[in-house]
Amino acid sequence: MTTEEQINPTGLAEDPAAQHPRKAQLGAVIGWGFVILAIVASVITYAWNSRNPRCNNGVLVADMIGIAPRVSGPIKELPIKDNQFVHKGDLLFEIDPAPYEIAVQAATANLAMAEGALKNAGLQIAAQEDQAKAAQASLDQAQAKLATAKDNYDRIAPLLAKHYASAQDVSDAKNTMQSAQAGFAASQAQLLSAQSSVLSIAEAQAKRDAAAANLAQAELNLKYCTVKAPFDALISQMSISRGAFASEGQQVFTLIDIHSWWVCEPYREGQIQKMKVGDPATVELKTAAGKLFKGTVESIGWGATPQALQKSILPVIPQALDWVQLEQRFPVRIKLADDVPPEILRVGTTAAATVHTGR
Amino acid sequence: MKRPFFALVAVAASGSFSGCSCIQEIGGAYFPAWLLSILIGWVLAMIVRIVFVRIGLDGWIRPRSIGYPALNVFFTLLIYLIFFTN
Repeated sequence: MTTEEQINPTGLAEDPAAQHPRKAQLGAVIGWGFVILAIVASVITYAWNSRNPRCNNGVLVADMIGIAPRVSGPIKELPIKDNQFVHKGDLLFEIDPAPYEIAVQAATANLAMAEGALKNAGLQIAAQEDQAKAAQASLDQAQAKLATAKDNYDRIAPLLAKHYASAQDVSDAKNTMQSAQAGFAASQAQLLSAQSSVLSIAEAQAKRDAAAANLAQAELNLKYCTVKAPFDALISQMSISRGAFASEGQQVFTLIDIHSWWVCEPYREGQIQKMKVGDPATVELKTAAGKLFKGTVESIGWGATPQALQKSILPVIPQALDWVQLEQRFPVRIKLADDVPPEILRVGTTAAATVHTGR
Repeated sequence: MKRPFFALVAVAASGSFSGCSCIQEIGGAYFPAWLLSILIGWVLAMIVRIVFVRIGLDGWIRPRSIGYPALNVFFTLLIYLIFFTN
């Protein structure tokens, strides 16, 4: 032990800075340097984060439809497999068309029958119309006869006073006129009867139209036996195989539209206020970790069900201490650019997104 | 004593920093990037402290109470900005 240490055993306690002024200075510079670096880094990070809101619990989504046949029957052809890619218009499956072909034949025959009946009705109506014309002609004839008889009577009747005509003649002329009058009335009645017995063609026409509509429906049903892909798609959740009975309206598998990929990110309300539709975004899909893809903010959700609005027969009051309240989140749709390799796109993939608001 | 732990962190740091994601997969779960950044920042700050102890400067850092925490914050944010922003 030295004398100095005996006097002051704690060593540094007296005034270390005075003993090593350069070390003390360096220590202060380094210490405060750390603080300044931390502050600068904090400011930069805060600025970056608020200009580039991030969300890391989104999912990759695409438009999906369930394919269901529009007619029932056993599946005759099923050229596709689960998880396969199909082009628009490719055959998905074919339902046994035999009963539907027979239905078309029956409907065709029914239509032919209805058309024959329509033709027959036309002929019948033409005949009835001819009869009506004949009745009209005989009415005209009776009218002419009546006119002649009336003229005759009008001429003879005044001659009776001057005794140029006998009472017998006048009486005969009167009888002839009355007879002609009765004949005219009979002809009139006959014409009315003939006219009213002319059938309408409307019924036969309607029957023909109904038969034609039935045929169209039968042909449509036959067409429905062949189901084709409505768009370029991926097959998923196939739950049917060849020979199985497919029921009308019952889903047999799912088609994923390969041209409609988008990412749904639940952004916090504070982040949403900075972004707008059309902002560029960077998306990372966890099926291709490490790769970044470009996207665009397509739309921002207009609503999300808050807990208190969930349907129940009584109000929903969450049991929580609400002095810390979580931010509401809204779904933001980010459309993926087309250059994403299709083999990594799967519905439900975890997706992290950063929106570059530039503000 | 702490060597295996450092090695583990170093492997995690070098291996899983593929890309600039804000979440990192470790053992089947996704962890937020800031969590990893804090961990690595802390390790780096510790390494600096060990170096300072070796060269005898550790006792001279002023202000002592916030010097190393500030370094930890700085490394954390540096790691985040370098590896996890895009």
